[in-house]
Amino acid sequence: MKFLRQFAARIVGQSIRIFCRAITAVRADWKGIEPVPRQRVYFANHTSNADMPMIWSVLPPALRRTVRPVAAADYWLKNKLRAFVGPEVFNCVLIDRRPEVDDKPLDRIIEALDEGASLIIFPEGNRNMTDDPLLPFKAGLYNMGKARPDVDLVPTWVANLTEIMPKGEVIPLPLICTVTFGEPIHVKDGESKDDFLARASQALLDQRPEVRT
Amino acid sequence: MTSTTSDILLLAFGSFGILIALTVLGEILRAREEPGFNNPVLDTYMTRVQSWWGMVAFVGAALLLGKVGVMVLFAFASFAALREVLTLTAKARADHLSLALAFFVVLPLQYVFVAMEWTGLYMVFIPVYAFLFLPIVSALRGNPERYLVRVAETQWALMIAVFCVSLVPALMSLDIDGYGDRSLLLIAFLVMVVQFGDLLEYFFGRRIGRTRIAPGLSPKTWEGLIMGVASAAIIGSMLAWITPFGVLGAALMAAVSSLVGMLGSLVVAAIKRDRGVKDWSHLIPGQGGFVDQLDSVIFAAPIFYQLTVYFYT
Repeated sequence: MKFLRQFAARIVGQSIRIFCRAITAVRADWKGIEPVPRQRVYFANHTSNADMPMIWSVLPPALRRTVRPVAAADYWLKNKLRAFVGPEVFNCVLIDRRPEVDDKPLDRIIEALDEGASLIIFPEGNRNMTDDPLLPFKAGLYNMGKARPDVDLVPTWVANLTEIMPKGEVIPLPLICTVTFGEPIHVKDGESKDDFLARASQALLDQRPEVRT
Repeated sequence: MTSTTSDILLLAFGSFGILIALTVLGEILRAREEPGFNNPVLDTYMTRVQSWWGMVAFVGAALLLGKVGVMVLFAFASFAALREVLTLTAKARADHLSLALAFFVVLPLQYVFVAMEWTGLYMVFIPVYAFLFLPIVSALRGNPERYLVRVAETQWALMIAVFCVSLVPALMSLDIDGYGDRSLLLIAFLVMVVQFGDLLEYFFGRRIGRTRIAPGLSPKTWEGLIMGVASAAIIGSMLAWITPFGVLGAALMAAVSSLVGMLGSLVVAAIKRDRGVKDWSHLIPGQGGFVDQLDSVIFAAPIFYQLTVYFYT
């Protein structure tokens, strides 16, 4: 049974990957790092539910096997299908956001890092529905960067998803989505939380592909 | 085997012969290099040759499959090209529906009309009906900001990526006296003269090019252009046996198509410069995107189509 579930998870994972490629011709731009297996935290902008599958799809197989997206438990445990896809296909690190539960999200994240996993996180905390390119970052990225200073924090910009699938639309446009990976950053000695988060935010903005319109 | 099929096979083997020569040439140059030394020019050349293998295989297979194969191949090329152009054009949320219609309704319908050989409709469907209808859909959402820019850029995208590309398979619907079902070969003729013309234009431009045609836009030179068009004319006359044009006619048709194609790729270069990108996308290794590869065929197709209609039907 366990074997069957694993097999199903692989098939579903491949289908998601092929679907992402077919709809958006999604492509990786390895600007600041090489696609080599190395422990990293990919921190990305978040405008759509498709952000995470896009990043996941462009990672080469060896990297994809060790990467774990950090995601909200309330979203991924909502129904049986999501409870299968989130934890078993994407191998998510699930964070409980309910206020009454005293579950320390950072402990879960550090635990995953100590097991050797790479992570995909969205430091804005929520999907960005505004016209600003990024919302202010939450403290999580700083805290994990401080707790495990050796891990590379890689700014990862997902471009065009707002145009491909704006909120409230039903049909996705098959435009090209690009995922740009920038140079890794680390928390410097003595750097304050606000300084680091501002620097991380700028590092992420720098990865936006330049298109004049 | 019909004579059309055997001619296509002959052309395919001829192209494979040229590709084998180009591949062997590249491998010899690579073998003569110092071990451990990487020559970027040679690497680019080899990636391009590999992409050409793929293209010859796809176009050859499509032509052998006949009408259905050609329609599917060019519809797919249109789709990829439209996606590349629309990724870079101005758009707002208000355009979402009209862009979705462009991809999923206008593009398939255009190819259905071409397949039905409904000339009166496929010639006006995009330039008249789509151009009037899609702006209405965008306007109904009520966002006037940069409206003209958004609408105009979407229309340009449809024009070059769908209308012009679809006129290549439309060549199959032409009824030419004494040519019968061989109009499939016109596609092979157009694609070959334009692509080889481009290749030789690039080669001569590198070798003897001095005077830039449009400095700041593209490295194309007048010397390269003249030699490229002349080469296309020679290749066209050598391919006259697959056309209804006769030797001189084939040379002229090839020269005009190649010239328009080269000027068309200047237009495409201007759009790229405007948007600050080097290539349209990265879908074809070593060549950029579909629009980068198709730019000259895009501009040559309508002219070639109209000249054929005017002089030979």
